[in-house]
Amino acid sequence: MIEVMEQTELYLGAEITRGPAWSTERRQSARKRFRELGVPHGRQESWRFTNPRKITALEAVPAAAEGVANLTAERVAEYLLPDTAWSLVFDNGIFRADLSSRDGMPEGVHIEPLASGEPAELGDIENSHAFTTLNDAMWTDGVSVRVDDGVVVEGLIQFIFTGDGDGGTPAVHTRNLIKLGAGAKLNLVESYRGRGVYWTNAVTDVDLGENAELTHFFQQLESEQACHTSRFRVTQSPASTLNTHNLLIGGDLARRDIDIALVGEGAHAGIDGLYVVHDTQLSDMHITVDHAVPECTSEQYIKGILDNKSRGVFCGRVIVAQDAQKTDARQTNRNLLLSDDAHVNTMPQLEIYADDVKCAHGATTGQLDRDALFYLQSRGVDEVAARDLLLFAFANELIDRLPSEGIREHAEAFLEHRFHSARQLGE
Amino acid sequence: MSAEIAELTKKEYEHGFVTEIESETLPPGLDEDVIRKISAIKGEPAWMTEWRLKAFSQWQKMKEPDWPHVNYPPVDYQAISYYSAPKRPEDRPQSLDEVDPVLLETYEKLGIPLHERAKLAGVAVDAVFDSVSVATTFKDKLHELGIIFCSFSEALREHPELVKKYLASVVPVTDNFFAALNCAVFTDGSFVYIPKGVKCPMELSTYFRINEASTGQFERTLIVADEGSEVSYLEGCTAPMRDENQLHAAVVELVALPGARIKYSTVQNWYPGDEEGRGGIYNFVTKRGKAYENSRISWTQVETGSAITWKYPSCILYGDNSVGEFYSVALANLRQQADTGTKMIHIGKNTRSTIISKGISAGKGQNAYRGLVQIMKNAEGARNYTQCDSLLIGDKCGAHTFPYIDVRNTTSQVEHEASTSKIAEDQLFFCQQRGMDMEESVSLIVNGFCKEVFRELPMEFAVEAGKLLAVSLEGSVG
Repeated sequence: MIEVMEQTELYLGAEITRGPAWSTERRQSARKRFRELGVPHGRQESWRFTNPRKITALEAVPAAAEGVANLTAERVAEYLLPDTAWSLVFDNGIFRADLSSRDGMPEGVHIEPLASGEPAELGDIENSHAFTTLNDAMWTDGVSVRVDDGVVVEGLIQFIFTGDGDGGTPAVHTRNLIKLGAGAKLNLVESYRGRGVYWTNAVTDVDLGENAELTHFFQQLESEQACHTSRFRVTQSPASTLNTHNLLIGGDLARRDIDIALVGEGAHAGIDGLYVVHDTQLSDMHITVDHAVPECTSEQYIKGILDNKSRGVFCGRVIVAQDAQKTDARQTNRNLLLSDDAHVNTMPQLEIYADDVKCAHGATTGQLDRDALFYLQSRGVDEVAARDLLLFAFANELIDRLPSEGIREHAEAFLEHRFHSARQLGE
Repeated sequence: MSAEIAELTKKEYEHGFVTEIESETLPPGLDEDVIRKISAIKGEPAWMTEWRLKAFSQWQKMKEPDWPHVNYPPVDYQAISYYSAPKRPEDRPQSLDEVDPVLLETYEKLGIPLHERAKLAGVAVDAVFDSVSVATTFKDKLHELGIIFCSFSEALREHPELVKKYLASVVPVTDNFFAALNCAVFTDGSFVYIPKGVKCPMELSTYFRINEASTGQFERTLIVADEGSEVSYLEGCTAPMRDENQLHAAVVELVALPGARIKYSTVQNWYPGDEEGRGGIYNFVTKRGKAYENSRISWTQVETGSAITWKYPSCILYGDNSVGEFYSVALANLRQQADTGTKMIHIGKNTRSTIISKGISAGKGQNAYRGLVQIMKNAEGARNYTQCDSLLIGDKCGAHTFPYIDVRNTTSQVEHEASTSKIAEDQLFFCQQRGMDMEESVSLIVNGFCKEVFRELPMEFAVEAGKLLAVSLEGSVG
């Protein structure tokens, strides 16, 4: 195990200067801040249940600037969702124009790789979340999306980010920026896929204009040897709507941080999450919804299925500011443990400083309902099929809420495969 | 409505007065000599002095916790006097008649007629005035049954073997900063031992009262219920008005041996400070019970006082089929800050726990529930149900919920529910329309909100709790 100091420098990759010139100054101050913050460790409250040792043990180094060029059109075809109209593909953080398809994009939609596009406003560097600060310093590329006021995009846009551990353990720092103008509408998919050992550290920033509507599907199907950390930050203007659906299946250690700032009255944020883990996987979701102004609504609905020696961590926080009256915030976390070695830590937290609000949260952890299993068996369904059926029913509540038929089918197939292989291992 | 609220909020603390009794008090400061001196005053055996000194050296290495959701200026532990006793310690009153009349008057002002209560309600009272027990009643009656109910110092003299066996068996010396401090400097407290199979015929009760200015109060309570026994213990607190913050770091340990039942009820009404947050008690308490097979530990608390409350009555459900319960009403008004909750650690098979927590925030109060439910791997069939409800009165207060749930097996079931709401205008309207005034209406609604907890309290406490809440609410209506 290498020392913390060395680890910090390893992540910063000596004095690498990459990326567009407009980002250089910002990168330099982020490097400085990351050195001050250091690499997170298990004694910090926000990493208490998710020891980042699995990430540091990878000793991942910044992904090579020239890329590996291993990604083939066949694999991309496999990763594409049936409904996808346009796609942008990145391999180890490098844009692959040859594998992407951007033809026929409607007027008023500006999509380009962040590194080679117009200078972008990335905001202040992250001050406390070290891996985001590291991303500030080290991002190689990602997507920049701007949708003009009133533009409604019907088709589905999919971003595919792949990690490839072939020839070394790369740290892939992806940066996305999504800006929707007033009244704009967009359907977006972020897919994280890969093979071998690598570390994905992605940051996606979203800015929703007045009345804008973003439907977002986050699909984390990383390799099971890889580590994944991602941050999703959203700022919502008045009456804007966000619906984000998160499917977390891959990664040896996967942590997703979602931070929603409701800064415009009447905004709504819906956050769904489903994590399905087995073996020694760890899946962590940290969600913060900040109700800064009155009359906003939010709903978090997170479910987890844990088998073998896997671990699940959920930390949901709702903050209601003093003047944020008429807030309606809901938060639910349900976990299903399939093995005595599986372990769940859940912390549904409310911090409320206003009195005229409706806030509720609930968390449950349990096993498959014996009565339901018995009922199915008494109707002639064998035990294995009955178990599959109940598992599927548990997950289906969230699958049903996914934004399109194609996405639903894809997710169903993936889960079926997972439950099936778990069953075969069990036999 | 807001004018009424403003007026009601200004209501002063009713129990603010100072009893002038000469006290034997150590000068402020804390070092090994002070600890030796406390130990010597108490006439403790050598092992106890050593134990205290060891705790002190551990405490010096520890850091004051900063994770609770509370803010207060740093406490200067060298500015506190660690011992204060009413005069004539060598000449302690043997019965109620001999108790200093000024002291009895103090209890009268608090509305706790000691002798009357003792006789009428059948309550034996071990009155703790500052740090030394002044009166212990009904001792003989309890003695017949083999029940030991006495001050901690007496227990150290008369039953050192029991104390040695169970002291710090539930809350280890190094458990936390305040527990370690308590181990080093605690001056007195209560000790209860219920022999095998004995059902204690009356509610045991201690009234705490912090009196001497800038005297830290460090109480130690140890309750041991032997196999198959049963006991209900009441603890009630109220303190006079002070400008200087007073530190209170008590430790309560409960040991429920196989088949035993312990019910521990608290009504805490210490001085909460004034509107600007000046004065008030700092209440940093460690309470924990260890439950062996088939035993039951039940904590019920009504917390309306203190400027800062840091308190997590917990159950270690060690034996199979043991049961832990936590019922709490916590009120934060004025500038009070409460960070309170419980821990339920399920170790044995088929262990069950219930948590009902009701938080009421008013004025500029901040009320946080912080709880841990941990189901260990071997706790097959464990069951937990948690319900945390918060009521907000006014728009400058806060209600927070920080539950930690840690589950490590598949046969257990854990449920957590929480809600936050305010008193609805239509409820108030309904009550007022039926001829109740604003104050009565709010009181009625809040009492309804807390009903699930109040009904767990022993009869006499339930009455007091209801009254207390009504009084505290007068300053918290919205």
